[in-house]
Amino acid sequence: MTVKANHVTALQTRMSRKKSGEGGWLLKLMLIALLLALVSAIVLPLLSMFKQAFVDSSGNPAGLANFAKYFQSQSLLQSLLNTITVSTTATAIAVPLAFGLAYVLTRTDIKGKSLFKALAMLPLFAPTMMHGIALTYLFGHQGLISTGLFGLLPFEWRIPLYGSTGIIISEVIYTFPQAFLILCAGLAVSDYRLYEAAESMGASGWRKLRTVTLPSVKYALLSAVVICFTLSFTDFGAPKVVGGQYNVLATDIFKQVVGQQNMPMGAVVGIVLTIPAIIAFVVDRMVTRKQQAYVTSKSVPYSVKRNRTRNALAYAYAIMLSAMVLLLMGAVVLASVVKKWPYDMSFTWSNFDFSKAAAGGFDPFWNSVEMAAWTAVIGTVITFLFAYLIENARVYKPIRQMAYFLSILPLALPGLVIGLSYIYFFNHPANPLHFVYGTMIILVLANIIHFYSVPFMTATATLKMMDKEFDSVSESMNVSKLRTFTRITVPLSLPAILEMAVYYFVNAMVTVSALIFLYASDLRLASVSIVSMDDAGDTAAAAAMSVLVVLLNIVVRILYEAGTARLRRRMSAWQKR
Amino acid sequence: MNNEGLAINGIRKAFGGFQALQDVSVHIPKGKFTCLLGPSGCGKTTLLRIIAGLEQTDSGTVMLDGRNITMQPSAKRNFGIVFQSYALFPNLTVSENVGYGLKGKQPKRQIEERVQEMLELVGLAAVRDRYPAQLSGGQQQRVALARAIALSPDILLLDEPLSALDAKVRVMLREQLCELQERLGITTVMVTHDQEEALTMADQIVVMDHGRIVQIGTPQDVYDKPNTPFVADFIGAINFLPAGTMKWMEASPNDVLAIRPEHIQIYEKQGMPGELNNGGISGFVQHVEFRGAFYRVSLLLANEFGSNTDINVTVDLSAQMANRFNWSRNSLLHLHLPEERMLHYPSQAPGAQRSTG
Repeated sequence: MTVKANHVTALQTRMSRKKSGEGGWLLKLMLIALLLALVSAIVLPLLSMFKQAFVDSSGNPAGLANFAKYFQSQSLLQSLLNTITVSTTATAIAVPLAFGLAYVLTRTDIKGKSLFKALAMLPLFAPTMMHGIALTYLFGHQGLISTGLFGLLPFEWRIPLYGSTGIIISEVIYTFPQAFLILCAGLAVSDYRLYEAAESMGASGWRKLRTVTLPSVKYALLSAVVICFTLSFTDFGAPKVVGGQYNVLATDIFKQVVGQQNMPMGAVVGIVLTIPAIIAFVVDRMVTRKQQAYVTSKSVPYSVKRNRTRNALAYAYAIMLSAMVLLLMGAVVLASVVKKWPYDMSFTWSNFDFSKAAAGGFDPFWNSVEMAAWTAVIGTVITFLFAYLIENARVYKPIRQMAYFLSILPLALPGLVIGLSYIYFFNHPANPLHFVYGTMIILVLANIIHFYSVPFMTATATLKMMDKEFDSVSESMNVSKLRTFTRITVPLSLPAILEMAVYYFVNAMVTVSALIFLYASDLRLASVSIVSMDDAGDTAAAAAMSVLVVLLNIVVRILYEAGTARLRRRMSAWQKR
Repeated sequence: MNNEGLAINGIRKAFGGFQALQDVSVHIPKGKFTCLLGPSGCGKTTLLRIIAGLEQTDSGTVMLDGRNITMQPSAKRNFGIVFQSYALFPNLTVSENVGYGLKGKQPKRQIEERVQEMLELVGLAAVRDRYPAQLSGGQQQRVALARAIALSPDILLLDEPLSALDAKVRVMLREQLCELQERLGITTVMVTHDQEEALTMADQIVVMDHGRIVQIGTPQDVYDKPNTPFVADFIGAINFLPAGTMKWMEASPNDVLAIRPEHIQIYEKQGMPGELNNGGISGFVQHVEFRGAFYRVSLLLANEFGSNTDINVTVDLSAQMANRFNWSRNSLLHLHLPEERMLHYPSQAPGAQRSTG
């Protein structure tokens, strides 16, 4: 009896193995391909950069010599210190500023919230160089404000722009919208019952803020701090434009690699640049894991009471910040359409004729558009597919876990590091993928990896919200996974898919960090040309190019909003209760 | 024993270290309505998913009409499933949902006819072009049902199909579901944790606990002759009395005796307090609960000296009967516990030592 039972069990085990082998081989193959793709696009390039840090310039093993040299070099150490100073200060300013606006827009009933929100997010559509350029037109030697409206005002307001001040202001502008978005999401979910409880026990407004509001957004606050610090720590665009003689790590890498062709030292700085990002990444991960269950399904949404004084203050604050954003953008737009700032302020389109500037015509702009479009299309398809496989395939759990980790890792990778590791990896003659070097393919690939994590998480969140029995239903009715995917999963995820595409497009348009190492001389890009035109002193043309980029991004965003509005109308029938 | 229906033999399933099912065997008769009943975590849904082929069993077999289908993937089994969440596709209309499994397998005209037929069967032809979110919970449930039977499945599997509905709708749908099942004569397995649902709907009830089957029988069997104190307690209300409190024929003092509240009769002051023979005991009234059609009275048993013990007994009696008594607190009443209604569980029986409740 026992023997027979054992025999039956063994037979069944064998049969069940055979069965999963038949049904899921395509899925397994895809999962393996997915992991291989992630490994070769992320892990291998990083390893080759890592390896560079441990060899000397002629390629011989050097152990820790490069690191020793780095930590002995006074100027490089100074850069590290500078970078920390700048990013700490920028974070300390941007997060409270963003918290204020997020609070105003979520916890008061002022009008025009969507306008204020749109204006607050405007800097996201601009390359970071543009913030620097705006500052030079406002606070530079011939700036609008520093000269007191060109002498129209009885006083001048000069600040030492070039150096840490300029970088800090630029980073605040750059990171403000990111912190704002995180804090808005954090403040939007709240449990009003806690406020009512606090009120019934006679808590003052300040006490409520301290005991209810802040604890409920502490994870969002921490996330915002982490993001602001990491972004300003690794930003390249702003320091390049307004940094002056004030060196930071990002500009150091550029100088080491492009200026001095010192690849090993570039790799060392790259590693130093990545460390805080990795730490921040780990902290953020650990903290967000604890985040759940503060807001339950029983939570009551926040209800705003009437309060005129509060609203007046809220209006003042929101209008002040919006005005500052408009002023920054306005200065660049103005500079792009005047003949010779500040001497001849008459109108002209000539700055948009890039043939005389370092950009050498309109090509860089169209190259960028093409690259951003490819990034959006290919990136979105790949990201959604990967997220779907990782979330829904029921086989190969270890592979899916590894792939998930690799999918969120790029969050911690500065664009410069991605660019740098791609040089080392793809420019290696022995690499079979060497042919992509200097082509559109490598630019698109670098962009997809650089911005991969956020769309990946968007897709995962959307997929997680779907009823997990959808697959079971289809399976029990003998309907193929492919049909369920195309007929159910994709239509239901369409808003998220569009959002992912826009995210890829906008970021690919504005980014410079990864691409500055990868573009070929016959394939120049808008963002890179902004840097080079500004470098060449052709600031007006740089301003003009920035304006084009922002305008295109705004148009894309508006198209997206219009498209999703129609989609939402159609989908409301699916969601209405 | 006939081969018709589903024969489940020696099913085991573990999730990591947790043994969800241990050696489960049951026969699901063809054309009948079988309920898998048990508290949450007892393994009933896992068993249903194994029957459906959505979960692989660790060992054991599932046979359908004598064919071994243990290794057959869900897609090949031709079973209709209604999930607890219904899992209706929100982006498809009612008719598209119902026709989802038919598409590509039959000509278009035929699908349309079949969908219409199904919608008429569940009484939803009027809302065929609406989306699931625009329907009430009961309507959604019926769409899920129509979708599951559209493919004329050999077996219909229902995973707590009524649990998300209002009490009123639930009772109505119970009837409709039973009527439909009878009309189609489809072998049906329903998972539920609601004993009332199981009692009212099933031809056969399979009571499960901790991954094992505790009792299989008709609703009457399971209610009147529960195998274990667990079943007695889980299905309907029950009083547990330590055998020591009463003289009972063959019961040893550690055994457990049980009786349903509606089987106890109440008399005003008959006999003396402490008179415990002949199924008669006394109790002090503690609390009277009006339940609409009947009253539920809870009493504390009196000991032989006429003072109260801590043994609680509940008695159900009709409103008509209840009016004859004086229900003031601590008034003493005589109880008659008919011998033929008494359930007796020897102390070594599994679960016999559970606390009274």
